[in-house]
Amino acid sequence: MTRSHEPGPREVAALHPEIPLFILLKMDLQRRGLRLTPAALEAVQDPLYDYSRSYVIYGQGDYVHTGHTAPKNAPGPLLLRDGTSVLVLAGAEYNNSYTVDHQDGRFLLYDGDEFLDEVDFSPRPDFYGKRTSRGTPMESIATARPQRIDINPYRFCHFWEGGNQCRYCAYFTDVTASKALADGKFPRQVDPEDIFETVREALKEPGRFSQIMLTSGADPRGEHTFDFEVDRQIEALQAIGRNFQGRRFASELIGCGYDKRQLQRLHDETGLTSYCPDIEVWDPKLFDWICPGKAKYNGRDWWIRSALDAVDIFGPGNVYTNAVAGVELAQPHGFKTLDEALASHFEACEFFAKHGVVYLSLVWIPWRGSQFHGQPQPPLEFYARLIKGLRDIKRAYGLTSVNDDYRHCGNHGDSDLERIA
Amino acid sequence: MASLPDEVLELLRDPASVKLLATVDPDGTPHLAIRPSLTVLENGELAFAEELDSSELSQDLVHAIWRDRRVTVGVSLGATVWQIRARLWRCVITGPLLKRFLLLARAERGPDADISTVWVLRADDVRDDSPAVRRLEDASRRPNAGSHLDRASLVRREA
Repeated sequence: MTRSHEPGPREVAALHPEIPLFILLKMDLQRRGLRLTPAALEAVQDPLYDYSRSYVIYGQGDYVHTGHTAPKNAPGPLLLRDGTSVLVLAGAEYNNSYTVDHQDGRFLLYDGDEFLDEVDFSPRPDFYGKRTSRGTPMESIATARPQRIDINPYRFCHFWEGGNQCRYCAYFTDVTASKALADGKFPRQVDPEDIFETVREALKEPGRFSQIMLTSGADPRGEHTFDFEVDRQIEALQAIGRNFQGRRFASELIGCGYDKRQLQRLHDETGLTSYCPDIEVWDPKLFDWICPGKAKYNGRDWWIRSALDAVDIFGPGNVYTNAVAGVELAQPHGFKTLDEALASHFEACEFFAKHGVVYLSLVWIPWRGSQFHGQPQPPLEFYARLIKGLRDIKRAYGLTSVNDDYRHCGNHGDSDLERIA
Repeated sequence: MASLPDEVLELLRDPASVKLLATVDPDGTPHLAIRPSLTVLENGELAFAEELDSSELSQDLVHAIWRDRRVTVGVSLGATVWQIRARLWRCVITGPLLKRFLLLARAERGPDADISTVWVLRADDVRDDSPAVRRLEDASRRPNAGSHLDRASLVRREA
């Protein structure tokens, strides 16, 4: 086993003592990936941990590489001792991965031969393994983060038609495997009744979920751009809403940039509480290069306007936008220095914060199925400087990431830092 | 992890005991909280439920686990007082332990009761802080220090 020669979490923590080691470790786990020893892989086959069919839709390729000839089921998100969740695909090694071993009933995290800490995995939710009344496996309808249900009502991104997908994206590149794991019941559009029944079943488990997130592949079709997509989201949200007594339920829609009429419909016709059109890349030229589908439908200014308009409808602090931090350094057109990239992020965060929109970063992983596969990632220290700067800007504007915090999303080092006000 | 005497284990499991947590915030200001759910688990770790992430205690506990700072647990019943210095070991936001504490909270406070987190602590050291025990210890270490001379056990009273 080899170790990275880049400064790791401990070295970066020494340079940035205000950032907890747990959060640095989480971001480095996201950067470098995670492999399971044979003992750990066997341990996660236990019914407490076995996430079975999930994750495949994210398109990162085969699920577990451990030298086994037969595929094994993967665990859920990794949990650090402070409650930080790490959305890392255990087994999809991509960059000098960390290792989890299993000894004496405990999961132990290593970097090479160096023991780091005891860790755990998010437990399998009770609804996994059950079927809807139409016979659809429920884990093909919804997946579980530590406290969140994730649902993809539409499992195809039309930006991929004509090669307009975002260049870092690998979503839905494992459709064949996903179909097989869902017993062939993997249509592009999910039946709203399957969504209703799956959520109903999920809510029977005490204390397992406190938020529901929807996201889908982009579908620009319709009389107005994205009308088909909005209709579908409304249908899914209404199906979910039938499980609740009140009008609103804690929820987030990560969707395309919608116009004001579409946003108003989402607010008025469903119980949705927050909306997130992802800007992905702030710099105008890089946005056009890296996100050609978004540039085509209907351009950077449209996506920004959508986030700002949504604040009028959902309220300040209930609208988010994500940046895939690091892709702005992709070559040949990306920034040449880390300082330029950081300045761009901070400019974006300040702009959105002024308008009540929460700007969040996540760690870029050059997935195998993406056009950017093989590009180098920025060093961990880049992410340390980034999350501290973003946290400071949002704090100055009184913004916090209630819908995307450590317990609901788990993808953002900057919102993890908000645990201490 | 220090093992706890049987008397402390019984006190921690006794619903009648008063259970306190002392923490400090990032600025060093102390904070005291009463948490009746505090108990000892089968493996000897301490655990209690916290309702809100935004509570002062939650914030202090996050600070403590991030910075590897200790907290102090006090458990008392009548004249018996024990003090445990402990490290934050785990912040549990999902799984069987969270479910167990949530179901207990709902059994006690009704089906709408909720918790956000179960905090798990590991004891570093424990001491009997009961006044009678402290007095005896002090008397054996410093036999002539600090006691007022007019105490009934010292002064010869006129008949």
